Amino acid sequence: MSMEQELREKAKELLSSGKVKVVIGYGEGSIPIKSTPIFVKTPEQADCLVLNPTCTNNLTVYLPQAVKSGPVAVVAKPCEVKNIVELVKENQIKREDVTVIAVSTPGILNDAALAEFDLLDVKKISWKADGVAVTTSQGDTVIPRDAAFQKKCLSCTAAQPAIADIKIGDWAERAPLQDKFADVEEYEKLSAEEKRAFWAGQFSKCIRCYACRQACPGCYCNECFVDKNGQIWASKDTGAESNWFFHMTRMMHTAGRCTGCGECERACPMGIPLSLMGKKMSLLVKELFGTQPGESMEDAPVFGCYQTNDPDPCPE
Amino acid sequence: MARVGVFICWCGSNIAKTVDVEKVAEAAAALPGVAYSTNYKYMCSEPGQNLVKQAIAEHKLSSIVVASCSPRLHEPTFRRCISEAGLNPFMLEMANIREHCSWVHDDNDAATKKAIDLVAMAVAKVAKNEPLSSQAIPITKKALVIGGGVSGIQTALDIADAGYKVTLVERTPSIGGRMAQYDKTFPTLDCAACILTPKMVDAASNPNIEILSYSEVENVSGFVGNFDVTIRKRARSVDMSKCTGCGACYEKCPKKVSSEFDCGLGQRKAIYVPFPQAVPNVPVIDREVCRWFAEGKCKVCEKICPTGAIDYSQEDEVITEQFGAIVAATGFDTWDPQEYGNLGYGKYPDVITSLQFERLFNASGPTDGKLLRPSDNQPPKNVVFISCIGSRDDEHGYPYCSKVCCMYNAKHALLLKEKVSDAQAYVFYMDIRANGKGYEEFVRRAMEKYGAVYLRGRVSRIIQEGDKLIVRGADTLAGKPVEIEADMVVLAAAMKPQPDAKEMARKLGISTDEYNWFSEAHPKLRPVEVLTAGVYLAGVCQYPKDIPDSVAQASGAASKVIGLFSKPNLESEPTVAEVNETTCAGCLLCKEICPFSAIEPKLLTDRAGNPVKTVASVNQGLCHGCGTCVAGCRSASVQLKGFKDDQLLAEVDALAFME
Repeated sequence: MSMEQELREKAKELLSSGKVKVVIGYGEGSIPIKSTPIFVKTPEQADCLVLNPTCTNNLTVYLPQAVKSGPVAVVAKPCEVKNIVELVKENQIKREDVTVIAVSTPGILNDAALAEFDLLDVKKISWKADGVAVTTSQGDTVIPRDAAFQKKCLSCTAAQPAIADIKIGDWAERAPLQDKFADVEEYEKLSAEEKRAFWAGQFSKCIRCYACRQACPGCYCNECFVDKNGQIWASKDTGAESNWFFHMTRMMHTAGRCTGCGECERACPMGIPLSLMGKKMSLLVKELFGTQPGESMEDAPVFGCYQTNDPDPCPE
Repeated sequence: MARVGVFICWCGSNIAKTVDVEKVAEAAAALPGVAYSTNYKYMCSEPGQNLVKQAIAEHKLSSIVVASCSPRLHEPTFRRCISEAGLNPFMLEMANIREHCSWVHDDNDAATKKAIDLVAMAVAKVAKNEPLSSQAIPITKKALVIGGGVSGIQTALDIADAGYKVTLVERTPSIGGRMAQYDKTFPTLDCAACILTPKMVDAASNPNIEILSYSEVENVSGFVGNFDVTIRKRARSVDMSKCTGCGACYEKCPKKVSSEFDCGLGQRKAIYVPFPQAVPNVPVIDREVCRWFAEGKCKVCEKICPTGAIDYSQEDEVITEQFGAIVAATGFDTWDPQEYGNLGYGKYPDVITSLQFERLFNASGPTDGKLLRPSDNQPPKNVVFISCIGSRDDEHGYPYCSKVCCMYNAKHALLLKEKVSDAQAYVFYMDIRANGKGYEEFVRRAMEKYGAVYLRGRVSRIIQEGDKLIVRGADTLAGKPVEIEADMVVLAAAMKPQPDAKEMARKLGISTDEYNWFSEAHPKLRPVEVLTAGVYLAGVCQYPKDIPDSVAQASGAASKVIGLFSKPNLESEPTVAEVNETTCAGCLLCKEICPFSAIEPKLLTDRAGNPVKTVASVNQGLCHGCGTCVAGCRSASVQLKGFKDDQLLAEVDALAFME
């Protein structure tokens, strides 16, 4: 049975038994290069669920709202299970309200991999043993893994998730194709001035659409600091300085909570490498406190606990 | 719209000599919202305060800015002043133009300009201030004293005498502390036991004092008036209600180990009381060494006990109790002279520390009070005492002076002569520090009447030759090297903080200095308080002290506790956090990080009672207004009253957009 078939069966069981009211998963998009999030409410609709290399959105972002209408099942990749862990620990959802369908896939397609293709001519995108097959009117083209997958997938080890109710796919631990923090290492070679110039260039592109924030499962505040009217901390203009302030503040707010799902960067229409900031922060947290967000239900939040052996260095 | 009054103080010449106060008052008058502005020589004086009160009435002022000294000094004064004039005391802002301005600058023009900036910021903020009011918080009128040495005992006795309950927690099996180890005390040579043990018995028999020996404080939460303290009562393995203290068990116990109380010079049993006058006089079983616990056989003590008090199955008991105040009297440790390799401590048996020397002197010590050398049990003739072992030594030990060593060296030199009439004491010293009542006279007596030879200088090396210790050093006054053939060498090891002092400080939420001594609130004016309200210090845990100083501080700490308990209630600070329930996302990070456990989740419901969402809620009685939650809140949904974002931003804007 294919992973997709297995997912549909499980979804049907969950819905017909009444264990959940809705299964959040992926359905076919308007064209085959994209899947779209769908909310499956009946066992019949479960056949709409798909699982293929284009299933990219982090569906956990919907959970805090979705659980208000009853128990929910959600399709989550290993990186996204970590978001659920964080949401439970941060009291946004109750563990018992969420059935976690953890799916270990070979990897998710990165948009750039399709650059050479006529997107409207793409008929199907599917996993093959050595990468991703793109089917067009010309036939199948196989893109090798390191070119096909998102960076986060290349460094994924498919480590056992901290929580999972149903597991689908190959959960045998795998050797990552790339180090998770490889691009941070590359970035660290820049001097302070170069780093500043780099980000000044990046942030000058930002149009403050807040897609990064909306896509982020950690950004669930009812009112973001940047939307406040009474106490105006952050200017709403799109000058590079104001954008800088917004992004740095948002990054500080996700420090120790960012699981590296990469949704902010994927959602950004201006191509700002936001997950690089997230990873840099993640690396700092890992080096200083030895923990990584979402990897255990027991770890206290990094910014919410104090241990006598906590390091106290001055970050550069 | 606020009508702000601005009052610029000269502070005599403290402010006026650097800041043009007239000009500041003029500039203030032009600021938006300012209805009245003036200056006066001493605003805190009675005429100054009257000036403020009159202006409030005459100009219908709603908010007041006093530009003078630090709010630390006179904020309470002016809060009282404006509240007497009918305003809410929190409609006041202080602009600190003394410590932050006139005292630290000498350019008059620049200082005047800065003073105007500071006043403008305060005016912008006060215009957004809101009236605040405090609440009454009940006080748990029971004190916790941590440490059962002479300081802890004295504190407990004084508090109990005032009629309040005290729990005295001591981690060893008996109260008494260091003083119980001493033989005689300087400068009057009272026997330590004769003056300490009656106090120990008083503490034990006082109905207001509960002694928890063999117990440790595990956790402290809460705040002044209402601390929640978790105490671990370690398993004694002896039922305290059945034991009569007959001592049969430790007579018969077959297992001997080195005695901590005798500093390793004597032995104790696996079941033991540390010393004969122990309070409570109930033994404990040291489970680490007891044969029954180690090997599963023996049970001699159980067989011999006439009252069946031995209970091998006892377990640690963890209790949580409420206290209104806590006194830390946790004492000290001594520095290990092995750090000085050249003195042979730990290598030559007759090189000992002063504390070991006390035990050799003590009638209940390992030699029953006979002064005998550890190596051959013979009385020593020539004894060398060396001061400042680890004290006043930046390189190997501590830079500070341990304060008591000069005095006990003199005491030891004097007592040596009394015990062994043909003995000779040599004292190597750096300086003689004998500043206390009768102290200098005492040292003189040791030198002049008892013939102790004082040599100003350091010892470079001690080597064993036969049964003699060759002490080589310098006599810097004579300007020549000296060599003494000694039978025994006594090292005055430095006092150092308890090894777990830092951990204890963390539990109590108090700070420590660079060496880990507990930090007082003010080195001169608040020596027994710490910056955490409701916690006080007694004895050496703060800094090296002798017995008179420790006891004096203990009584000082007790009087602070009694003062606190004599009030019917505590008044809460109104500057506490409040939650905006509309924007709060309920992540409860604030609850995690609140040091006072003042934040709880709260379920919001609609009118039909259906749950809507969970938000954070601040217990105003527990909140200290530290602002940690405010900083932690990502959506700025927690605000600190009196320091709200819009108030602080107004202040910043006033500075940023200043012309």
